Formats: sequence, C-alpha cells, structure tokens
Amino acid sequence: MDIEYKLYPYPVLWEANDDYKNSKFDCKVNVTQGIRRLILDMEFTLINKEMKELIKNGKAEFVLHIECPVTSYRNIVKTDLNTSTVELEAKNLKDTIALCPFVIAKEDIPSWVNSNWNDDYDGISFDYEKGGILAIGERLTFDVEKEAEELGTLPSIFTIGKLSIMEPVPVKIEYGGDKIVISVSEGDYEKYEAFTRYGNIDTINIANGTLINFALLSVIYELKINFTAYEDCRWFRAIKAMMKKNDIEFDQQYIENVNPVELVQQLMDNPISKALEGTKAIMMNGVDEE
Amino acid sequence: MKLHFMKENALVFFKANIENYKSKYIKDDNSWIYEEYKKATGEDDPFEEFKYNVNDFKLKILPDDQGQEDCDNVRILHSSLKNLTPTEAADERFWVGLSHNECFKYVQLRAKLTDKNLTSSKIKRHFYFGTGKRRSLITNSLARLWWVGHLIYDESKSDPYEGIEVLKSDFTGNVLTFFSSNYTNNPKITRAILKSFDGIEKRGIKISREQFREILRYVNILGGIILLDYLTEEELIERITNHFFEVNKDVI
Repeated sequence: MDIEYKLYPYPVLWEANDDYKNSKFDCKVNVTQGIRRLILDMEFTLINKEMKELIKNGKAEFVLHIECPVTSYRNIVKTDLNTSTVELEAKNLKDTIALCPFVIAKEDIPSWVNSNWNDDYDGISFDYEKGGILAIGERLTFDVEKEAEELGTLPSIFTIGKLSIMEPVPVKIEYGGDKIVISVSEGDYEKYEAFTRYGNIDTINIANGTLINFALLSVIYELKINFTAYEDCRWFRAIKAMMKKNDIEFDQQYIENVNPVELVQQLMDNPISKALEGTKAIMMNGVDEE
Repeated sequence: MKLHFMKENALVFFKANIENYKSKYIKDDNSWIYEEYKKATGEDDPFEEFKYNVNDFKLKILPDDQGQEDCDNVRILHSSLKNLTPTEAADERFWVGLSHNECFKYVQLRAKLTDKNLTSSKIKRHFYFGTGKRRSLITNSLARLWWVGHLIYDESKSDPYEGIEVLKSDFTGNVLTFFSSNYTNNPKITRAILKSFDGIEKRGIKISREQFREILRYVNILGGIILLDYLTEEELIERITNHFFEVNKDVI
C-alpha cells in the first residue's frame, strides 16, 4: 500500500504529520525466506498511553498491510500483541513486497480524546469508525529472492525404475547413485507412467503423494544415520543447494535435529493436501461426466 | 493438453524484433516463429514444455458479442488453468508462449490484426507484456482472462465466476477501470463490490457506466479514511449499497 502523505479527517499518529506530540508508532519486520515460504517476524512499538489502552481493551489492534503488486497479492495480518509472526506462501509473491504497519480501530470509537494530540485539537474529540486509522508506521519494502520461476518439467532427483516382476511387491529405494531410484513392479510402473506422463497436475500430485514423498521420507531417515556417505551424490547436492537458497545450512546438525515428516511436507509443499485436492478434482470431474 | 512457454532468450529476441516480424503476426500459423528463431540462433525450438498438462480447452471467438466472448473465455481459461500459481501467472514467458503457440490464432483474432492496422505497439500489447509488469496482467489478451478469473473467483458460489457478468457490457473498459485500483487486489474487496452491483441489479436497477465508475470512485474515497481491507465483506457491501441508494435516490 503506497501511503503518501495526506490529510485524514481525524488525528493520526504518523511521522509525516504533527498530529501528536511525545508519541511514536513503528514496526520492525524481520523477513526470512524458508522453504516455499516467507516468514515475517513483527515487533510493534507504540508510545502513547491512551492508544495502548484502546489495544488493551480490545478496541484497536496492530495491523500489518502486505502487498505484492506484481502478483496482485494484498492482505492484512492483525494482532494485539507487540510481537507476532506470519508465514506467507512464496507462490503468491514475486519481486518486491510492500509492508505498512497500522494501528486500526476494531470497532466504532465515538468521542475519543488523546492527551498527546497537538494543541490545535484542545477541547475537541473525534469519532473513529471501525477500520479507522489511528497510527501509521514506516512503509517497508522487501525484495523476494527467487530464481526465475521454474516453468518447465522440474529436474528430478528421483527416477522411477522398473523391477522385472509384474505383481505388486514392496518398493525398493536406492540412494547410492546420482539420483534416488525408486523401483516398483512392472504393473505399478505402468500405472505411475499413466498418471504422470498422460495425466495432469491432479494425477501428478496423487502419484507424488504416494511414491515420491514416501521415498523422500526414507532418504531423510537414511541421512540421519549415514549423512556423510551420500555427500558426493548429485541428489544430495541438489537438496543442499535448494536448502541454501532458503538460507538453511543442510549439514549433519540440521539433519539430526529436523523432523523428517515436517521437512518432507515443506520440501514437497504440503503433498497430502495436493493429493487429496487432486483426488477430489478427479471425483468431481467423474461426477460431472455422469 | 500440453502447453508451451517461450524460453527466456527467445522472448528477449522476439520482443526486441517485433517491428521486423510484424507482418508475420497475420500469417495463418506460427511456423515462422520456429524458422526465424532457428535462423537467428541456430536453435530449433523457441518454446519449452510447461511442467504439467491441462485439460483441453478452446477459446471462443464471437465477433458480434465481444463482451460475451470475453466472459466465456474468462471461465474457460481460468478453470482450465486453475492450478497456476500467481507467480507462474505473472510470468511473461508463460503468456507469450501461449500467445505464440497454442493460442496464436485466438490472440490474432482478438487483437483484430489486419494488414492495415499492424503496429508494433498493438502486437506488443496483445502478444507480450507491453505496459509494465502489473498493468500487463490486465492488458495482455490472454493474461487478462486468467487474472480477471483469479480476482473475481468466489468458491462459495455455485457459479464461482458469477461476478463476471457485471463487467460484461464493456469488458475491456470495465476491467481496466475496475482492476486499475490496487484495492481490487484484495479478493474480499473485489467480491464485495461485485456482490453490491449484483444486489442492486437484482432489485431491477440497471447500473449505468457512470454509476459503475462512481461506485469505484466512492470505494477509492472510502479507502482514504479507513483501511478497506479491515472491514468484512458484508460491511463493505452495506457501505457500498447504502452509498449507491443515497446518491441515486431517483432510482428507488
């Protein structure tokens, strides 16, 4: 939100004007990039007794306005705490995001008076309606560090191999080569190919929800036992590079402490949800065709 | 259906050479793109396959009813590409790829290109991002369809694209006016405005172009005194509807 200097029909605590004396409002935002996420750690600073009372009494709250012009993303985060954290999905953000902190009236506040208003407002009270702006902090921008979006078929660290057995057997996973090889029976291989090569995003998500996620989980558990054994493998270096892009040092200490289930879900961007969505989409299409 | 996006270096090349190739944009097919790219770079293919297939779709051409055509195509394109993320949909390579490949004929017809009106600026506006990153999302012939669908989509409705009907009468003009204001980036605000229009029209009142613009101006002014994003959708609808009837007392 591009807040340019303008006059409001009521006093606003803001560096750009002199509506208030001996008062201050601002917000420090620390932005870190996680796996497919942007994490915003907010710390609000408010120096004004009556405004703090409004927040304490539930009549006002801190709001961070978040906007990404290039992807037409616009949203707000609300809190009555001095510190708060929010995670944004990276798929909604590109290039630059603009952040603007506010103190906003949660409900109508009639006849409000503040002892730190400019002397010009002596003897006057103001009505603030719900959504009214009590304070504005410094507008911040943040450049989202992203490689050019990968639009093509994703280079995979996995390959699906075919066992020379037709009937279903337990999947075999091999980690020693450049790619992680997931070997399945011939019958299962044909089904997987049908899902991925000739299907669509819904079928790909379902297929990945079964095979790839299972294999990735197995890999993480293997690395917990044998981290250094795979450092020369291309798949290992690919995961390491991807984590580095997200400011994560992929080392033994990290692997020892990480929750494998959580990590796989972050790396694959909530695969269970995607697989269920894919199933639902196919069921809905099936119902429509009837 | 497989889709193709244009490779980065191919995009740079063709965009820089629109003037040199403008006569080719009215050819019957897009084979010239491959020929010219090969001549210039030695590479066979200026396109690359998009990461996943989509359901088959075909965009409509209704020369006698442009508004209906655009509305139908919003539904067709957005529903076919509903899994596109906003960052993918903001990528010029994607839309330039479709414009020069799977949707070449559509964009050609939509831009109403003839040998008498072939200008670089017209080609740039329809086939490329010609007006800046943000604005191009609603001026490029294809991107506009997806982004309008994305911004008006309301999954709580049996017809999630219902809001598009309000924009039909002068689709290009209305879309430009409506989505030029940043507040429409918040889907809640967009839905509130469209639902307000719908509610008013359900009372038998036909909203004129001037009334449409006046409501958007009102929302803009309202955004100058409160944080629009803070209100609920219902509160916004109430404010907008009350304002409409306040300034249009004669239509009650």
